Amino acid sequence: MLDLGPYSEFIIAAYSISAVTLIALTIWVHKSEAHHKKMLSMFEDDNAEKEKNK
Amino acid sequence: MRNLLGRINGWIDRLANPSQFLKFSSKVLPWLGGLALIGFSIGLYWAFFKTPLDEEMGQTVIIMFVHVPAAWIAQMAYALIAVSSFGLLVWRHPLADVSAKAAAPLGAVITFLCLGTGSIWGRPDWGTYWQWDLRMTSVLVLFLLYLGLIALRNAIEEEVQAGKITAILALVGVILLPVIKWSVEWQQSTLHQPAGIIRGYVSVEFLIPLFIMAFSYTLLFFYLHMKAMRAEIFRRRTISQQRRQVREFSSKEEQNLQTP
Repeated sequence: MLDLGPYSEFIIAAYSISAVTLIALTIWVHKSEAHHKKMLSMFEDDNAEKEKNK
Repeated sequence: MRNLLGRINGWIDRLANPSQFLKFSSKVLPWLGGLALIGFSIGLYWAFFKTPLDEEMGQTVIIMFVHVPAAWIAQMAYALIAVSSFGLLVWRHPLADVSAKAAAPLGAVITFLCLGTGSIWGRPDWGTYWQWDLRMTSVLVLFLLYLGLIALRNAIEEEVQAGKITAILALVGVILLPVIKWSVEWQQSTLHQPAGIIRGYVSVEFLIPLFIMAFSYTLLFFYLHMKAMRAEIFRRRTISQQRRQVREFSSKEEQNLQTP
């Protein structure tokens, strides 16, 4: 285990807040992209189907 | 030289096309994400296992490796929004508005990280979490400006109008960047350290992990920015598909009403 000195809780807090925030941000952006991609392909498929049936 | 500029211009024009951007980003994204991950692994190892104790700050100096890159990226993200806003207002590049919109929440989160880690670092080093000095206050104003940009865009229903008005606010807000940069020079009675990296006050043992972490932060930012831009392009295309369906539906309804 690393010796982080008398102020270890501040170091751990700074790194934890950074890690949690950046991971949460990455997951949010990734999910948002996946959601919008899925929605678009649903509408495109739907419209293509209608074009075919015309 | 002219040939090179022409090629760069052509490359930018091609990239400003949303379909070309989607193709390009799908190739670049895995590299950006992978390199950011490797960079963070090396940077964190260096920060925790190879960094010596600082004479004044002791072990808390390693907070610098998350705080300083967050501060740099917070300002870089704003500069990117400003350039994109300029591109939207002057050249009406189709991707400029998408870029500005995608960068705002990322910039807000990273500015929050800068404020949070700075405040945590301040307690053991200065004896306080917060001081209303020019540097900290101007970064807080930057955070509020990011929130203002997001709120303003969401408050205006018409997308083109929202983009233009937000772009004007973003350009006005650029004045904050030099204020943040020079705040520690202007105000002598501040607890915040002066800009020591440019002046060579920081030794190489600290500079190496700092630059590795800053580089990784930059890669992660561009990775997230590209992903967020892709999400916004998909969202806008979905809306145009929805509108197409509504138009078709209403024209059918009209035809049905006209036929006796």
